Amino acid sequence: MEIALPKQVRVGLTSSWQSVPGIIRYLPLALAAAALPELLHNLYLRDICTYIGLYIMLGMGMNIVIGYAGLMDLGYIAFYGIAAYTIAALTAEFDIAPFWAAFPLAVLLAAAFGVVLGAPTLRLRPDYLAMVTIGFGEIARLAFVNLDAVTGGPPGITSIPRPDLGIFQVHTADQLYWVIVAGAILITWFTQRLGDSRIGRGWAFTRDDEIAAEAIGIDTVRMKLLAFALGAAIAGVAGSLFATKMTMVAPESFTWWESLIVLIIVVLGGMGSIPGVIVGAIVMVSLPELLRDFSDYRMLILGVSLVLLALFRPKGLWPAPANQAAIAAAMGAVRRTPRAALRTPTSETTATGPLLEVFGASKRFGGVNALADVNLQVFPREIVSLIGPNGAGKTTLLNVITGLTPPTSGALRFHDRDITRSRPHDIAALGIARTFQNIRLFGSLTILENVAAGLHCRSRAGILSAALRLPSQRAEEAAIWSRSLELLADVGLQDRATDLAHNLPYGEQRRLEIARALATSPRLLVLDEPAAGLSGRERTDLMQLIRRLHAKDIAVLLIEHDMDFVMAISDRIYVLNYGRRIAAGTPDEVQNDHAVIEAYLGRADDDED
Amino acid sequence: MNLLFQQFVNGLTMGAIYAIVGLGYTMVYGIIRLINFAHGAVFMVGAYLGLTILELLGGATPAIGIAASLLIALVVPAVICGGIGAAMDTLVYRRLRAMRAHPLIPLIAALGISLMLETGAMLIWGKEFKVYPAILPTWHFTLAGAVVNSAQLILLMTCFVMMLSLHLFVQNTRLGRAMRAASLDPNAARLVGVNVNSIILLTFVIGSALAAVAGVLVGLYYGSVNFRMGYLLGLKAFTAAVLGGVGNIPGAMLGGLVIGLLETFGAAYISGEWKDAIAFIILITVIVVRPTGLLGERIAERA
Repeated sequence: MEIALPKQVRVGLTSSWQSVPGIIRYLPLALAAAALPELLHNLYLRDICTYIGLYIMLGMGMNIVIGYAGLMDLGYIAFYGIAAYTIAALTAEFDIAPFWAAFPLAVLLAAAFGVVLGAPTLRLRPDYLAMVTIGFGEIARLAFVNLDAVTGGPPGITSIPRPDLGIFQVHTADQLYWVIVAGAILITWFTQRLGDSRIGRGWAFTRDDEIAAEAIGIDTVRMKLLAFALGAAIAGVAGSLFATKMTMVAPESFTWWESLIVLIIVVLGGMGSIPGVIVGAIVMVSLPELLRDFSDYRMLILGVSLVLLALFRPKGLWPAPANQAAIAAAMGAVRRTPRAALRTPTSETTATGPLLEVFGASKRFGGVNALADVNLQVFPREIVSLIGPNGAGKTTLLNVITGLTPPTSGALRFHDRDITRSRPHDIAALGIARTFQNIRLFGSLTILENVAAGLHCRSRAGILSAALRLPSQRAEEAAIWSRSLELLADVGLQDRATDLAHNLPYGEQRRLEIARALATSPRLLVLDEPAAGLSGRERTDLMQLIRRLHAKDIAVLLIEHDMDFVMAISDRIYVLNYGRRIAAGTPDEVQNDHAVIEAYLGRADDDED
Repeated sequence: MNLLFQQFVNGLTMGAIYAIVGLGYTMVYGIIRLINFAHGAVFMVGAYLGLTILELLGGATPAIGIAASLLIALVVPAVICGGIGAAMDTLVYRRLRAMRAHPLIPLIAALGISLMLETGAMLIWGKEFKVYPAILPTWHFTLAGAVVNSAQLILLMTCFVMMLSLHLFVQNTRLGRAMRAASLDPNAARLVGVNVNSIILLTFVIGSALAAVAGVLVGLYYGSVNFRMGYLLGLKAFTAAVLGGVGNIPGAMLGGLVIGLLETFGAAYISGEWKDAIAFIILITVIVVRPTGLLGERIAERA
């Protein structure tokens, strides 16, 4: 007789399997595969496997850049080349350092080039980045050819020594093969752990919707730069090993075509997918070997395959799974892990002054004065509404307050701090959270992850603690998931935690966006038309939710066209028309204000003019 | 002094080619935001087609006269490559648009098409450089100390006529207006009744035809062609488009001329070895300092 396990137990089993580190799960398999050429004493096979190892490393680095962070790098091989040449120059050309001393330098130099190239360009449109990186790749190749004094010119640099450090000496190609296999496994493990961490989620948020990510406190430029530099550093590791494996470097190893192969590895396997990169690397290295007899046709075959891949399998051969399973596992793990405290914004000030002050804010778009000399204040725990006809400048004012569009003139203070020129993510970290008129969720991510996005700026785990899964990092992850679940329960979405956000109905998307904003533990919540499109019942719920915030010491500034809603909920109301503030006061005062009535209904004597 | 002016003429010649090829990139990019990497390969195919046609017509001494054979060698590749452009769009890119694929996917497809065209050309015409039939008279004139040969004159004149016609077409015709509208905002254009898919098809056809003519002109000017000639030239042409302002047709023309001139002068007065890097250094500088290009972009920001 079969005994069905209770659900609880099954979750426990799955999650304990999930919690086994990936490296232990797959290590035996990886090592067995790697040992095959050794067992067969097949040098040709070993060489191919060495290349597969190098391309797995390159693919993993590229996967961080393209798959995780969504950045198009078409000159990726330049970083590989820079590191290879650094090794060659230091260990052979000038012979001033042994491999293991040159190695960190080579990796750092590759990363530094990544930062130097990325810092000015990562703010730009993604396809411009593609162009800049192509250009950089070509410039790097020309530098390898033309800087003869350092690079040895077109013939390159030869007789690069093998790695050698005390007792750890690598003399034979066999030994180096094992070093490369170990490197590939290590980098795979690192990439996989990074993807499944706070940093990896930060990249996913940035990739999915940069503006929304900024608005909830994620420094998107920094996230992109981090991905770019890490990708370059990993290419640097591969390039260093490549130089010592070949014992020579020459410009023709670092052409545009090589960058393309790495790109194809990632896209072929499936962007963001770890097993995909491995499959892609195996296919891209071994396919040309298998097609050796058709050498003239193999590029044609590759070209046709790429087009067919794009048309019929755009997500790759082994696509990255949706995060649902991982999220479910994380939720299971929450129960068993101690939780860390998450940070909160600036210390509680008991000052009685205004929380937010806007002084004479103006915003011009070309010749249009979207905002002209607007003053506004929000006091702690106050509910303030911003009303006015369409085009009055309400959303512009919210964008100015949250840093999305800096004002042309005027000043903003929040919590006694000048935020006039602050970037959106800094303002969010200080304690202003917002929602958007046209709802900006991370649609391809789960509902739970959307809420967790708001906790990004309240948590701190970095690359190292994410890779090593330090106890502090695990406690923080547990705290993120349990807090996210609480916040979901507050808006009644806890049962749908693992659904994808774009599958939610409209009203629930609005609630989820509010939950995400609240996750940043704001002092001021800014809502842009929160009741738009909601049913009567949903409106009542929303009103109650906003009122509850009062008890939590959160002030609310909202734009709304539904006057019943505004009049019922607001402590004070500001009225804008044509970018100017035309009235301010309690709901009663505003309702009886002549200027307001004129703005909404037209002047009584209009007809007589 | 005349060396300076000579460099100017040489720079102008290459610049005109970059401008013509760059137009194909900028028109397509302006509407569908695709860097069509296959465009450089279309240029290369055009050059080979011109070569074959000139050889069929009798090589260096065509039976039907220079002018007629030149015309045929420019028009037929333009028509065939226009067809290739149309096929590219209808068979691949249009389907990818309908699938709403990730922006990298069309890029991968473009690389695939580029490989197919390049390898196809290699299989048909061989791996080695092929000598172009020297049908043009070895005639030249001297202007302010600079020598302008017949190939340069024909190249410059043809490019000028093509740019002017394209400009007039885009500015003054119904289709041209639809094209500008689609470039500014494809969705709004669709709402007011523009068939955006056929406009995109048209830009592929025009761009590919222009690239083919440019290919033949380059073949005549340099005297030889190779299946790899499209890649670097294509990248520089796209650089020209970015420099002028993406989606901006006069911008691509100006950008092409600027790149051609800077590259020629840089090679002559700074360093010949770094010639190919000049375009990319300009590209990176422009993108960082003035991302909207010299004349501004003509595409809508899409959030």
